[in-house]
Amino acid sequence: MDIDEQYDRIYRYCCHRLGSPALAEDVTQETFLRWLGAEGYREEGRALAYLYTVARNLCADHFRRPAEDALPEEVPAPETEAALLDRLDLRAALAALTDQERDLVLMRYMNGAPVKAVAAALGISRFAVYRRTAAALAKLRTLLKEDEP
Amino acid sequence: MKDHDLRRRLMDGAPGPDPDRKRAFLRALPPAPVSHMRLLLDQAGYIRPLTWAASAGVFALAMALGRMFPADAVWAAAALSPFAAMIAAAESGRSALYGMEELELSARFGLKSVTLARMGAVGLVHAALLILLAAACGGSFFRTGVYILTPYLAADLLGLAAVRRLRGREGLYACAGAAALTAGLCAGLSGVRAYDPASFRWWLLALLLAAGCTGREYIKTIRKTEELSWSL
Repeated sequence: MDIDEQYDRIYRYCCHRLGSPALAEDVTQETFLRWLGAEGYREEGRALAYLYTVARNLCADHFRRPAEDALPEEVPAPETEAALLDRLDLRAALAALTDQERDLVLMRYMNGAPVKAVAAALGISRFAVYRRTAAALAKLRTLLKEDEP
Repeated sequence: MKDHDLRRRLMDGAPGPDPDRKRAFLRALPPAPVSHMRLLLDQAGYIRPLTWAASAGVFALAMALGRMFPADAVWAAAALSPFAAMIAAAESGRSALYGMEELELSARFGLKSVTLARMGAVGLVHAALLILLAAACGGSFFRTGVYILTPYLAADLLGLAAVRRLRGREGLYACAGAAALTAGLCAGLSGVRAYDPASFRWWLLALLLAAGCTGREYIKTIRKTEELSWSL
């Protein structure tokens, strides 16, 4: 497994789930540290499922914690109004999906994780991964279309 | 929205990780442990094709001789097996032969692990070929196996001792000499009816002795790599 490449993918997944790059970076690093500390999950295939499971649980743990009113650490990079609106639309559309639909879109569709790894991380069958990913994508497309002027 | 556009939009929706933070984190990560099987397979890939070809050649020659002269198949196989042992012993001293010991000691997998893995890979392949050869020679599988394995182990013992004591090409020549000596002895024994069933118990005794001494020699060879690491 190429850790460098998977780092970016897990980070992107966490970033979409948490909405904060700095927090996503922390969770990504915590995910890899836990993976390295876990015996028996280092083989190809099992490793990806393990990484996504840990990242997903860590993201969920974050939402269970009471919200902190601290100022955000990162200063958002300047972007055009259109790009900002695009990102907000995407965030709103992703938020309208169920947790599992969002995971399927981010893990399977965006990151291209193998079906086997996604199925293991979400605890569903391979067939369900195919079926539900297609349904989630159709829903996401509809939501994004609704947002378009 | 097209498939490609949607994926791009999702990818662009999350900025890339901070490159400095990522680099610092990945650099600090300990290397992921590798299983014994993985190490064995990886190291098997570094064994020269010539080693595999020479091993296959020795066993193929033994089998061909057995086909051509069935009456002499057993002693011919016994006389050729030391050359396979020579190949295995020479492989264990390859790092020293090319003066690569220090470099290998500083690598992620130490010389000890690498030597063990390579000897294991060659040993496993030779064991499979010895079984095939014993089956191909005909007669009692067990008895033929003992006749072939005894000179193999004896030559391996002498070869390992030579590679451990002598450095570079000298070790290799001594290894070849030990194989030739054992092979000659095996061929000579056929003239004094040593392969008769009546003499089999002596072969068994020789096999046990050779197995014990070869095991000891392997341990010494591995210990030598540990000594090298302490002397760094």
